[in-house]
Amino acid sequence: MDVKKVIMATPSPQPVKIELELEVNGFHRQLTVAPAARLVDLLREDLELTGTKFSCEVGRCGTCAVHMDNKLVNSCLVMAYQANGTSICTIEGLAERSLDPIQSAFLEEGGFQCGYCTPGMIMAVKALLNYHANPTEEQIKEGLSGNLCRCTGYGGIIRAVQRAIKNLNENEIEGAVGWKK
Amino acid sequence: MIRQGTVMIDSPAIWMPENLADAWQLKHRFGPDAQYIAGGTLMQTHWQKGIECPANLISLERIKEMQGIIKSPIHGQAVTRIGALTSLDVCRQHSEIAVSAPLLTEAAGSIAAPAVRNKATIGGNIANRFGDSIPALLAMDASLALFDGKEILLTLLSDYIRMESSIKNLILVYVLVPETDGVNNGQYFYKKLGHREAFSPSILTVAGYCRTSEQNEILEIRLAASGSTSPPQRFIHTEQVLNGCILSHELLTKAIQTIKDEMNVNTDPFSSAGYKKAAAANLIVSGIVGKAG
Repeated sequence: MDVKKVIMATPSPQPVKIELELEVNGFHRQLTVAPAARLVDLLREDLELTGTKFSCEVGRCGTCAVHMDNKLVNSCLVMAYQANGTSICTIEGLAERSLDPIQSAFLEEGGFQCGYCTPGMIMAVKALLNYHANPTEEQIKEGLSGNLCRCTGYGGIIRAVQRAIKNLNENEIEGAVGWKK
Repeated sequence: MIRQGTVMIDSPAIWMPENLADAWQLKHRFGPDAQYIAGGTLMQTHWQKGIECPANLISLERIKEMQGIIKSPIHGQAVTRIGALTSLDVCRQHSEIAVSAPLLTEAAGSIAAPAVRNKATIGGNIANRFGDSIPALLAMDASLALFDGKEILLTLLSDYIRMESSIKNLILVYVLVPETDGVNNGQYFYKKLGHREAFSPSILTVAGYCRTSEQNEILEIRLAASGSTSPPQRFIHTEQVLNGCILSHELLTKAIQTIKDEMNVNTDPFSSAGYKKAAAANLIVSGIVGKAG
């Protein structure tokens, strides 16, 4: 997507608004918003993508994690003008015809209890596995260090990540075999 | 003011200058009603805590001089020039930095968590005056390039941290890190002490550089510390005490006391000044022993 950054707001006694253009889960979106509005609010309220949660609102808990231009960010710490012209992927954008292998792994391994942290957790795992196909346990813990879960004690989450790695590697092998045939 | 939750009140105006001079002009025009912003990860947490968001935010993200990482010799010395807009994650993962300034790689990896590091910048980490990269950069004897409205000035980071608040009007353009010389027995160390293993504000962060002779004489030494509630500082007096001395148990015992005496640190709700002084002294001395002993 080629969208120019267009903000040059003029100070005004009234809240200023900007025309925001971005891509969300593959769809082009246009919004008229305050330039410092938070991405998490735009996603949840303007676009009704409530899979992205919010809790601490200061970038500590990771429940609001999304991908911006393929990089993990806390959407509570992204202002509208910073998201202008970017491509956003939320938890709703992961699954295509079927669940993403990471989502399946969380289901299979019980990687959640109340589930509130799960969307952010899964987005963090996705970002991790995009960079490290076979991360060590230390790399998994580092990759999830910005995501808090108050229910599971993390055991199920770590197992889910390891299961996701296995699933993805098996899919890759099956894909390669299928291609050879 | 920006508040938690769903309602945005009095959103600030966002200015996006294309060059340093325009950014400077905007700050000059609005004075205390404006603030420079890059990643903004720390500033937003301040607003959420109730610190008022200024009416104008001057985003620096379009300014080309503040971007990129290049190697460039200065006065005959190999230096890595890191644009102030470089994200902490890039600092952590960049192959050039890993070779030329591995202590910065280590320090950047210890700051916050991946999602924050993708947005937070090295410039912001330094300009906020409490960032965990500062001790590492002090140990590496880094310099800063600051734009004063007319020209870019070079200053040592160790001088910058002692400057008064008027420095806030200067724009941090890039960081100059002398290339680590791995062949002269010089060794670096970095240690962060937090409330938990990862993604924790620093109680204390220490870093140092120590170069010794084969006879364990200290030929060159730089020691630094900071914390999320403690201003960064170089231990200049301690360095003077240690320089030229042979490493010994007695010398390190003396160094512990000197560091405690020299350290400027406050008590905060979680840790006393005495605790921080003792921890800093022990971490630094163990760093010297581990790397140079």
